[in-house]
Amino acid sequence: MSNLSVEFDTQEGIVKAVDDVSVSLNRGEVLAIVGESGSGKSVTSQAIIGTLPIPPGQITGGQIYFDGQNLLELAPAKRRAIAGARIAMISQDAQSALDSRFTVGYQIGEMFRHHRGWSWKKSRAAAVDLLDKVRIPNAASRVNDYPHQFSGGMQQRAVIAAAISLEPDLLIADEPTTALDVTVQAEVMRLLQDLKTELGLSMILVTHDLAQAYETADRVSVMYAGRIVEHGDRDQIFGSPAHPYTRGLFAATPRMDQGDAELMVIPGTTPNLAALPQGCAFAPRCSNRQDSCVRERPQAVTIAEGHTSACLFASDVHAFGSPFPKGALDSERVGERHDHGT
Amino acid sequence: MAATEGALPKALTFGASLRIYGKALWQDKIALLALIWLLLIMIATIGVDYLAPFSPTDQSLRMRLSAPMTPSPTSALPHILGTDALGRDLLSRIILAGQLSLAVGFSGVIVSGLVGVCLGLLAGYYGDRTDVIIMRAVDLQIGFPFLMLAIFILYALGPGFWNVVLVLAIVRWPVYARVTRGMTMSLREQQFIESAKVIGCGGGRIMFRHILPNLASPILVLATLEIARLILAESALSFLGLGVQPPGTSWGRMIADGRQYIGTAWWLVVAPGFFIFLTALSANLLATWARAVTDPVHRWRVLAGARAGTKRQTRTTRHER
Amino acid sequence: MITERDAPLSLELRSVHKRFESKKPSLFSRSPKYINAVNGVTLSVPAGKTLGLVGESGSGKSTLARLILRLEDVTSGDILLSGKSILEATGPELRRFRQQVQMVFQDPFGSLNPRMSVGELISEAWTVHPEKRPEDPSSRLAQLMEQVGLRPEWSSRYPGQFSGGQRQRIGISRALAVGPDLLVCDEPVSALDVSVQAQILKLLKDIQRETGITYIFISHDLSVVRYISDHVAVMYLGSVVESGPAQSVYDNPMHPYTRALLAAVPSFQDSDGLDGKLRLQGEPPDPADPPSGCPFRTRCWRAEMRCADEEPPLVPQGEDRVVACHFPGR
Repeated sequence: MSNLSVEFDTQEGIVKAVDDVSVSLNRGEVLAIVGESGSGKSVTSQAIIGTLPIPPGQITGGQIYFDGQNLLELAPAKRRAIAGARIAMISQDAQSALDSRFTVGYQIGEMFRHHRGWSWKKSRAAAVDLLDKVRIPNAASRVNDYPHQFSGGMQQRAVIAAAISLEPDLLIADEPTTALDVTVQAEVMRLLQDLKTELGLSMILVTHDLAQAYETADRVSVMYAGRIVEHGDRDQIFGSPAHPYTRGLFAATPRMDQGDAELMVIPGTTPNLAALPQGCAFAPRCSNRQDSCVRERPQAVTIAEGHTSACLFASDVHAFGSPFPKGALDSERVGERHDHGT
Repeated sequence: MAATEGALPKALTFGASLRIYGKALWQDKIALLALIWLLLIMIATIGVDYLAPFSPTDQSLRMRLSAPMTPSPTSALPHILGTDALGRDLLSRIILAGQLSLAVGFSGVIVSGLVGVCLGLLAGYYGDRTDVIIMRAVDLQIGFPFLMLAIFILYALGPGFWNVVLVLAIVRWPVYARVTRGMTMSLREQQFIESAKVIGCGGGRIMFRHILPNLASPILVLATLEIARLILAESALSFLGLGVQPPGTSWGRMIADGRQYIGTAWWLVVAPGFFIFLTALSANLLATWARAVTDPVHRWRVLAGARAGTKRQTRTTRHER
Repeated sequence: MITERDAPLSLELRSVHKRFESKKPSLFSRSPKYINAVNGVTLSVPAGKTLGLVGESGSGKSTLARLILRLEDVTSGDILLSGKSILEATGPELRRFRQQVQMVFQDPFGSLNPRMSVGELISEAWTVHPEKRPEDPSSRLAQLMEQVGLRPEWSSRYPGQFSGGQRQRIGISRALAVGPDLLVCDEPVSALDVSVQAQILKLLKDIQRETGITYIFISHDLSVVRYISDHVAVMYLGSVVESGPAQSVYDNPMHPYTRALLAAVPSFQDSDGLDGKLRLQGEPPDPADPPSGCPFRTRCWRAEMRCADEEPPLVPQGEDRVVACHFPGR
């Protein structure tokens, strides 16, 4: 995907929700897009899968290549065929993704009947297999349940089952665990990871949780105000971030291993996309702000191979090194890790 | 919202928001016409002594049952809508009658609205037994035949302006009670009501200071609709002879009086009927517009167009950003 | 009255139960169904400290908050504020209680009346409690707004014009207006972005340092609770399963549920990602149909016959800690 821009026509005028965003993803990789609300991370994923509400949204520039084909130039029907079968999406709200009037099995089976023209019986058997695969206990009997008979975590599993039913190449997970409890969240993430390995999926994980990105992703893009401010390998981003915003996010996230040590605060609030400053969008909140930041909009510069940052002083920021106390990143606490019991 | 703590979106002053609503109204010509008609009727009925072309009570047996546009022997103006059986100018009579029709409409809405909203708030906020009692009364009221009730009450109390208002209030309060109760029940679950309780607000303060202001616009829309309905209801009562008694008159009363001449002087029925129709229609149209403007889902589309001042069509999409 | 206010306030809960009727007896089923939302909670909060209440959805932590604030009635048990039961308070006593205990809500968008200006919202407490009205309300209002990082000149604006974080500041200053001794914060930062969340957490800490106010901080986010709390209590299915000083509980969790919960939080710790984590089987049971004995036994990897037969009581485990498990720390 390169130079993607999406605009929204809102009450306050035209808003650039996604501004000149380029990312690429190889087969079998997990890319995490990290950002706060209004950063454009969800809009980006919507643009890829083609569920962007148009209007008020409008893709104003850029290309999205999937296997060499520019999705944006394809005829809608063809695009739907690709988006349906080869790209799948899981959204935050499993409850609204499932239709409460039909059984879970019917809705998963529908994918086969619609896309592959399978018979009722065959689709149903396939649905049971899938539910089994996403570790829903007693899949053969639960297949006839209605969504409300499932708990939140199981609903999300069922949505995942539907998403992987056609063996997609790319899975877009938009905040897949935000609505779930911590313990259930961990299980769903584990399931996603296992499926990724098993099916050779590529995955785009959209999240606001840095730690979740750290645990799952190979590469990470950090978005702020519609632009990618930093992009790199997991170890590059977490080992030595080169953008003050990334650094600020780390410092502002309370961490259990740091106890009640003081948090560093990013002042101000996320910017209004309709009234972005002329220079760097993060400048008003940045502690390293210089005069030039206010005047000039920084372009992405390469710090190391595959590691870019849109900051005028990227290399200075990069030189600060790890945002974590020594050793916190690695398995220093191995000794304390809990065994699974007997 | 804003990049720094110092910047906030500008607050709209009262004048500015009035201008925006004005512009939105200007763009919706039908609503604008409706408003103009209602204003005209109101001004004309209030100033009937100065604005009516003839004295509404002057009789002239020579001119009785003249057709519309018959020239008047005493004035430069013709009898635009003709004259009635006593030779009175029909347009002037209609304006005079409008006074009563509108007065009944407005007073009826105010009385029934006050009663209905208060009871609806009580039922919705306290729930349980209060709710059951009030809502049973509502069901009872709605199931009761309107005309029978009106005949009973007006027979017992005798016809008259305030008695008609009373009947209309008794008949129409359940509408407000139902709407208010429903919205109160959903607002009651909001955190800001809980917050008011924690601060220490009593039931009265919560209902009237916290819940009611949030219901104001839907209730006003409902009230506008109700004005139209009450004008029609008053016409029906007066037509049956239960409403206004001579020498007072209202639009419904005029239709009743003109009925016997329908074969020879159709305008006696058609003209007041047309005024009833147009006034009720205007109130309905205005209410529809007001609902669109005050509904948070549609408002910004209506207003954004007005603010930008462009001729862009308001698009209809499900998605709001 | 002044001496009373100076006395350190402490909150004590004694085997508090709350039972909701989930199904009214109907034509078809005679017996009503009950949900034990809060099931015998005994806790105490020392003055000037923060108690963090952790649990997943359905653990009863928010119901507990509503009980403490008297937004719901307790089914059995007692809640004592400075040694006096709050459950019987009516009339003037209840008004005094409302001045002592306040709340910060979760939803920055739903918890402020959109039709009231910021000034009205914050000073509403004085309208309702005229005896608390400061001599110079406008300067007190400005002071309150500055305390939470809002500009005093914004007092005539409406909540709709503010961002989530700013609204949460308004909510905090509204709660502080009566000068409460105890502030119950129910998920106050869970709806906020990370960068804004840190601001609010810090603000809460600063206020505590300045005023010595006591907090009950409810959250499902263990990292946030770790940051703000002195003591933590972990709830599961309406009961407290473990409580103690925050550091001690986090460093050395003794209840299996606490351990599983801590392990489930995404962190930067395990370089090999999710594989090193404790796994919990299944999902929390239906509160309307809880398991016999220990509520956690259906998901516990250590469960034995005994766990199904008898419910483990909260047993002291040294240094101010209590744990409800037959096999603590193993």
